[in-house]
Amino acid sequence: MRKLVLMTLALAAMLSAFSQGEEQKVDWIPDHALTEFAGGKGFLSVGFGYENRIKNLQFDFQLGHLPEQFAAGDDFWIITATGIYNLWNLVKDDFHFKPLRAGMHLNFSTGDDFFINSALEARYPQKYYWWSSAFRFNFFVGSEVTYQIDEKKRISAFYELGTNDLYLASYFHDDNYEVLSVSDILVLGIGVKFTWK
Amino acid sequence: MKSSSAFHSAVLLLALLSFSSCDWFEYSPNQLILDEDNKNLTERNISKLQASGEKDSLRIAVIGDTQRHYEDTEEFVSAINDRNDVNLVIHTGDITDFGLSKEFNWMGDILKKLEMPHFTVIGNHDFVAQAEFVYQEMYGPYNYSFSHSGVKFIFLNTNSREFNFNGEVPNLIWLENELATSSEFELAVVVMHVPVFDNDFDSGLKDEFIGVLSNSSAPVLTINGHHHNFGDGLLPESKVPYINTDSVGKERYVLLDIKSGSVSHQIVDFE
Repeated sequence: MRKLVLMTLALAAMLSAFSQGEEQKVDWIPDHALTEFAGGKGFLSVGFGYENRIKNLQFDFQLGHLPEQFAAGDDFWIITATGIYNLWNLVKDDFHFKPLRAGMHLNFSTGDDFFINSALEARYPQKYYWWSSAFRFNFFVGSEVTYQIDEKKRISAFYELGTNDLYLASYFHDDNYEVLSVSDILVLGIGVKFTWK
Repeated sequence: MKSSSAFHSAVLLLALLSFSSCDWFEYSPNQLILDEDNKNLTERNISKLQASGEKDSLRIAVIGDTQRHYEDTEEFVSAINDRNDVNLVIHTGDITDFGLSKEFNWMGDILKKLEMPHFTVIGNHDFVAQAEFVYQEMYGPYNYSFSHSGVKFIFLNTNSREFNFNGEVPNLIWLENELATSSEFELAVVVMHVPVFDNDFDSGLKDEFIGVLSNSSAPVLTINGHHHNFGDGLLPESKVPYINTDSVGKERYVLLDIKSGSVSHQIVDFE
């Protein structure tokens, strides 16, 4: 009997939680679509993303491609997940300007040429290579300028200037900063974003 | 910051970035990007060496495993240029650490400051992702040879593990052919990255490899990298000598003196 009461209570709690969720209605339809040139995400990448309500956080997913003419070997695809924090948003008439944004993105290069962990490849013993050739972790800063087309629609242009984990590992090894310059390890991407809500 | 001036400065900044920094537009760290003067280096260095004329004796500086040691390699280059008596430089492989295009360019930009010709052999790190194609574009074929001043120089890809130990690396048929003309030279110097006594060398080819070297009628010296620590001795059950180079990070190089087919070597510190 006691068991039955507990089960009923648990079910009621679950139902009420579910109906509350129904009211708030989690909306998974993206806020925006974007396309980017370079930035370590492929020659060209396309994707979609989300912004929070106060528009200081942005999350994107992009699929990029490195065509054969730019690849050392076969062409390959790059999947990227990005998180961006906007430090300011300045508004003037129909323009929004985010002068400084900082973010991180994680790349995954697909295909047999890349290993997630060298230990997963049959040819290597454990801990043969310490890094992953498939995953690259990137850090960047950038800016974005937005034109408000109507109440909801906006079009933005942005750039991202940064570097990745392995370039940093190279730059900060021993006294390499005496030989390599910061400019040597910088990676730039530019893109366009279309927002509809 | 006024937002109108902020907008103008943003447009200006975007324009500036797009015009002035094409090098920064990178599609992938694994893409093929090489400066024009970092291409076809093996052939260019052979021409440079042959143009310098035959000599009675050769003095050779040997380094290996430059990987992420950019500053140490730069010091090595100035030390070699300063001493003014080195005829050529040999790199025993692992030019890069992560096999990225930028690393090849960085190391290439440092090594091209050497006043004398330099030659490389591919290391296992130069195979990561698609790096072996960058190596070929930058230097040339994995296996190559040339003769100079009575010495036959043979550069051999011994990175068997990167080929899943398929029984074809190192290419012993090619090596045997290269050594077959041994009446034409006083000494053969065989440069490789992975030494025969390492687990990364195809164990099925070890005996045959040592056999091919032992059968040469001219004396053979083998030089390898990979272990990052200097060592010398004879290859297992043979009279073929080997020299194991330090990583350039140890700030040491091996100096070889070759005269009439005989070799002496010493370790030199640089700083």
